[in-house]
Amino acid sequence: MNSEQPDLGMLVKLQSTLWYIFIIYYSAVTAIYFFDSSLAESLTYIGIMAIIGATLLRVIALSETFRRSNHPKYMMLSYLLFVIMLSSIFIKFI
Amino acid sequence: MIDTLLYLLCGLSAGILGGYLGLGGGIVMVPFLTVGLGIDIKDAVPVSAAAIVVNSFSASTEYLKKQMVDLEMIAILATFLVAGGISGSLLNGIIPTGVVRLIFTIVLVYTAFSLLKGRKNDTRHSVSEMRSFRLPLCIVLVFGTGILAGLIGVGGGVIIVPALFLIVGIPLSTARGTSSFITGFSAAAATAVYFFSDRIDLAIVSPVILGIIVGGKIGGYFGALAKPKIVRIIFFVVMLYLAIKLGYEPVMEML
Repeated sequence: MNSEQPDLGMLVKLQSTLWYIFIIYYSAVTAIYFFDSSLAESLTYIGIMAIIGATLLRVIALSETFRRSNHPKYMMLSYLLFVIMLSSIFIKFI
Repeated sequence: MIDTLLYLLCGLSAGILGGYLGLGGGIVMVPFLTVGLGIDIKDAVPVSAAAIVVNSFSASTEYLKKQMVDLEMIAILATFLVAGGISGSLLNGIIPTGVVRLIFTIVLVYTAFSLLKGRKNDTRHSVSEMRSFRLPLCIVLVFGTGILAGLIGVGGGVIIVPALFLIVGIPLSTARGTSSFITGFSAAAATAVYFFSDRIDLAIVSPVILGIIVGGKIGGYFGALAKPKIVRIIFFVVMLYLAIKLGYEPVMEML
């Protein structure tokens, strides 16, 4: 099993798409603040969950990049990162 | 309505200054919110963490396109940085506000002086042999940086970049790309901790995030045109002023 140079295309695509989504979303939410602040706060709540979710997606993309280039050790490390990141969500229940 | 405009302007100006100077934004935004708008530092830190995550999507994509990231280092260091980030954000709830302000002041002064001094030119090292020997030291440093980042709401690039460059021996441009990628992870973990323990002020987040993203792009554009020495001096003066404003109260309380 030969390891190859990782192809960063998937990460680039994912990150730039998410960044555009965030720009549009937060522009809309900020505009809504001027008319209906309670609705805007609810949307911000969803927006922050989206930021955390997007980061988890980013970790999965990183792991997949390693899997595709035959780097199982780094792929496992990336999934460990995923588990650690996920644990931060459970702080609420401590 | 006026508050939303003020938060937007604050994010925008922090983004412009941060982008102009090539910084993540947290180091500029927290003092702007605290000193400029009188927001408690413990409310400013979670907002900053959330903004750093979105900023990292933009900044690191540019480095990824140019292949200026070390993915293997990311896999190794991000785990420790995130663990540190979670610890730091938990500590933020325990440590008194005065101490958080004081720690931020120290980081601000360090950043101001390190930017004034400037960085050496990009040099290439033989990475593989240096890694096995110096990597543990870098891991410890990165974990500590994670704690600091989670505690005071900065990305930590100002410590990670020199650590990767000087200790591990990664080229400076790759160190910057690697840092901009992993700081997004630790900031996201800190954001999650703040968010799920209900410590994020939702009214501030959206306009600040929007401001810092747009401001970062504008600042980055003008930063490329400006003379670096003048920029550094301006930054030094602004940061020192903010450091004095932030640090004065806790120091006086201690005395």
